[in-house]
Amino acid sequence: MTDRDIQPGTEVRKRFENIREEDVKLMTAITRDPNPIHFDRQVVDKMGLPGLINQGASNLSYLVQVVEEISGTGGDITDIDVRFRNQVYEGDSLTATATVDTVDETEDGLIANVTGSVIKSDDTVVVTGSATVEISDA
Amino acid sequence: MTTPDIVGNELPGGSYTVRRWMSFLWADATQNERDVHRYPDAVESEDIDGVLVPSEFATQIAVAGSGTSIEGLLSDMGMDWDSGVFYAGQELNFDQQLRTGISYQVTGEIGDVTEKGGDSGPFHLVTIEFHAKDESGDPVFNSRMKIIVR
Repeated sequence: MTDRDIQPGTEVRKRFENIREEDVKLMTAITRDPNPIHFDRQVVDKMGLPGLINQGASNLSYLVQVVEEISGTGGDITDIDVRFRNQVYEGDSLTATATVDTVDETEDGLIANVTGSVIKSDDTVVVTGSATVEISDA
Repeated sequence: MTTPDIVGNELPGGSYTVRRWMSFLWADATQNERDVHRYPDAVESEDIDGVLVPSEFATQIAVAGSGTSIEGLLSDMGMDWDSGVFYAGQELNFDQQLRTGISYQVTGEIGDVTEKGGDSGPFHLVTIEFHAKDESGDPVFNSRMKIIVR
């Protein structure tokens, strides 16, 4: 996406299909998270949950990715603020959406203010948030 | 429900260096297809050695570089995972892009602890603040992590 394409209402969507058990466990290993809800099936079964719980950082990542897609290679996220509304489980499929609300011109380029969400296939909202992206002319 | 008196408590502090394999696998685990997080050749900048690290990795740098862990913080509050912990929110403010090979210096403190009531009963909303600088002492990011503890 180029600077000229970025205007209020510009939207980027990305689908994240079938969150895999191995990806949940991989993130858990990278983050050294000892909470068994992310890797121990016996624990989640005992809790009556539908599966392993996806890492919050992964859910954040899905929103960050679509926000970054708005800015393309010339932009940087300067601020992002999200709320985690519901859990994501292995096997879930999600749609992340970022929408440009306002665009301001600066000496160095553009600043886009964006709102976004991550929603499951059953319309459960899992993440909501806002972000600011600086897009330079260089 | 007793609110622990820990607001302002500073975290031990420390450092964290993102290695290429961490960025690579993090991108794999989050279905992130951007090669700039995996291959140096994909990074279109002569000023950057290594790869660009996914922005949300800042949450990992913050906790892992702070000299403690979420478990340790909960323990300081007299709580543990069995208490019921929910990652409620996250704010990140960036001054620089994240890169591999940089030793990020991390400091932090307990920003706020507020008792709240909800449909499921009372809980504490705990805000943990982290601050990261690069090896030159220049600011890289601030992180504000919010967790619900029952």
